[in-house]
Amino acid sequence: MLFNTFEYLFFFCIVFLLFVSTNNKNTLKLRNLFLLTASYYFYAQLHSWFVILLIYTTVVNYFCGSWIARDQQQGKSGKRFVTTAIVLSIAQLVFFKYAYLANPTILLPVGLSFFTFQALSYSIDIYRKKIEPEKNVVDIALFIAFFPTLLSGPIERARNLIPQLKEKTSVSWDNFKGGAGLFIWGVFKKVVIADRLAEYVNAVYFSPESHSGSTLALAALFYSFQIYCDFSGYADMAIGSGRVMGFKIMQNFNFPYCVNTFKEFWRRWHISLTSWFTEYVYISLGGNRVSQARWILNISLVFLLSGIWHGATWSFVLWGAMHAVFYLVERFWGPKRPNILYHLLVFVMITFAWIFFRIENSVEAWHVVTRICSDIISPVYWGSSTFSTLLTMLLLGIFMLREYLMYRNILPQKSAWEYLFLLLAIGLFGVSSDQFVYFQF
Amino acid sequence: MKRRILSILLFVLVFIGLDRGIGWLLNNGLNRYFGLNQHSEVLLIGHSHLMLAVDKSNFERGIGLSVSKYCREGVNVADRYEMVKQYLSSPYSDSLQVVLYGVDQFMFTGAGLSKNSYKLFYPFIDEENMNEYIKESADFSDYWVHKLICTSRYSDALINSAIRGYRYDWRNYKVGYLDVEVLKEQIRKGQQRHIHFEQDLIDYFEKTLELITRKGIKVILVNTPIAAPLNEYEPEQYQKIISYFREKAASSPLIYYWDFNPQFSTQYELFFDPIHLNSGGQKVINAEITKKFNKEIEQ
Repeated sequence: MLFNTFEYLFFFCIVFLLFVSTNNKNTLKLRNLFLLTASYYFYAQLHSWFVILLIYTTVVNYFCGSWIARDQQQGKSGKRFVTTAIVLSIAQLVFFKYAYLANPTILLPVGLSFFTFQALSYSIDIYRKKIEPEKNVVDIALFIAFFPTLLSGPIERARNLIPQLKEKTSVSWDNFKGGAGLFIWGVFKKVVIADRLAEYVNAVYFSPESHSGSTLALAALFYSFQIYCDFSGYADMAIGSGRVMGFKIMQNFNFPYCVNTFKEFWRRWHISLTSWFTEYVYISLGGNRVSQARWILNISLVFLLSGIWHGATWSFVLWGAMHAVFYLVERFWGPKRPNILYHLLVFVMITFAWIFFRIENSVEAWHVVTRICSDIISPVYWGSSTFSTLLTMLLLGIFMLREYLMYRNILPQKSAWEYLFLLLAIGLFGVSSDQFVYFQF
Repeated sequence: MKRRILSILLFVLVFIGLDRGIGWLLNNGLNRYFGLNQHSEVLLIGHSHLMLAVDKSNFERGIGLSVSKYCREGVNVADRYEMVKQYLSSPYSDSLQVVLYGVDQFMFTGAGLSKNSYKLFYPFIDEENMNEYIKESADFSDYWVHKLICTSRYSDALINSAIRGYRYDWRNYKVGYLDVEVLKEQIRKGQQRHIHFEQDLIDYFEKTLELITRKGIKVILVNTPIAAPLNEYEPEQYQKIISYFREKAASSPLIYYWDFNPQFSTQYELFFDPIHLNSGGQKVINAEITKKFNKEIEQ
């Protein structure tokens, strides 16, 4: 059941109605139990045994969280149990990722990396005394399995979501309007931009060796927007679903391509993962309160781990390493006041890095890069239908314009007409796909 | 609260209005493109094979009759039966005299054809026949989404066709040449489709002929050229299907069979790929069909 299907819309309407009827101070336990059941049902639609993994992650972190707190009450650090939680949670993740690599017929549980990291934030926050352990197992289970964030994030923090699960949420007209609007915008990004771009990108990357440099450059450019619209579209639908029910889910993207520097890009791209690594890895390694050499090592490690999080292949490691290099080079030799040319350079380098992300064979990806650089002036392949490709480019242009206007706050108020346009565009220009790029992670 | 419910209702109503409006505009353009809203004397029915062999404007000029070219990429025999039914049940069919029906040796081969070809007819879901056909083929949610939301019925290709309908642009052609050696290599590797005789597809074809001839309308089974290596690699099956078409033509004075293969299937410069003609091939075959039509079909 994907967000961009009528099955989800039907599911959500039923969940919302039952949610509203139980969203009272006296029936919060019932509401959360119902939301947990709905979330497990939602996940079981993909594959019923996936739910076992959710239960495993919940049990590990619930008990480890309690034991960390008990240790701390007894004057101990609780380190042994936080380590247990990390090892047992990551072991599950590593097992499935490597099992999948060894045998691609094995089903990789969708969203595993997301809910594992989300659950770990709970145990680590207890260890760091940022939160108290949760007594009610339903609440922690719901925090880990909450259906809007379950498959592709945002990776929520226990300190943000669990308190909301303990309160009656505000189901208001403003939340309904804002949430529904965000959901529609997310669907537009997914089916009108990302999935249309994917048709061209998939056709070119199916046999990159048979395409000219300019075609490969266009495919690389398209992929930059495809992955952004696919992933941020999903995040918008997740945040929108939560908001309709009155939940405030953390932002995951904030106009990442509108910025001038790599540093700023990473503040705005996949915010929930970047901030997770910053909080739980970078800070643990000493952050920037270390020697310069150690700081460089810390930064490199965080980027490499970020790459590995996406998958245990060299191409993801290389993608992480490239961003580490971009970040460090900019830190030491970057311009003090980045101008439009530097902005363009940042975007081009990010686009080149995405080639390694998209093409899992690094050697082939490198050939694509060299082909782009050596054969940029060449005839462009216009796809199986020139009309379709031109239409996609026009829609991408409209999307980019809207993003820019929103970034500049020139278009702050969304009107009903805009939503009408988006809905009609979804109907008319949307193409259906049964996959989100980030489901594989 | 009341105001908010009213504003939601108003939003839904405006959406429905705009959706229906856009749907009507596109549907109208599409009908123009396929000639489904005109009183034609000649109707072309087929898939891309016939689509690329005939130029509607030139053909109309050549025979001096009005032509509806209702050819869709990827339509199988069952789809074509629905297409014929669609035109014949419309108020525009009263002037129809001749149907040019594209045939080839793969007509009764189900493998390789899309099982989802009913989706091509979503724009016509409001027409009774097509509605029934789509309802039988599509799943529940797919059917109702397209039934309720008009804008969801159009793919890029259909939007393009609708625009071309308004621009009176009927051109269909491909530029390029067949690589015969590659084709021969593919055949050596067994990568080509095989000639089958699937009974359900034969039944649909015979139902189609019956439907047309019952109304006293002539049917010309047009076998536009296919590259020779494709006609030669299963000679027995090929002869069997050609004989079948000839028998059909012999069974009724209203049925004709025109085969352009003997004359043109080895003229490889006319082909874009093994089964599609290029723009040069279209000129040649269009002229041949026009000539034969003027000679053999009594008005």
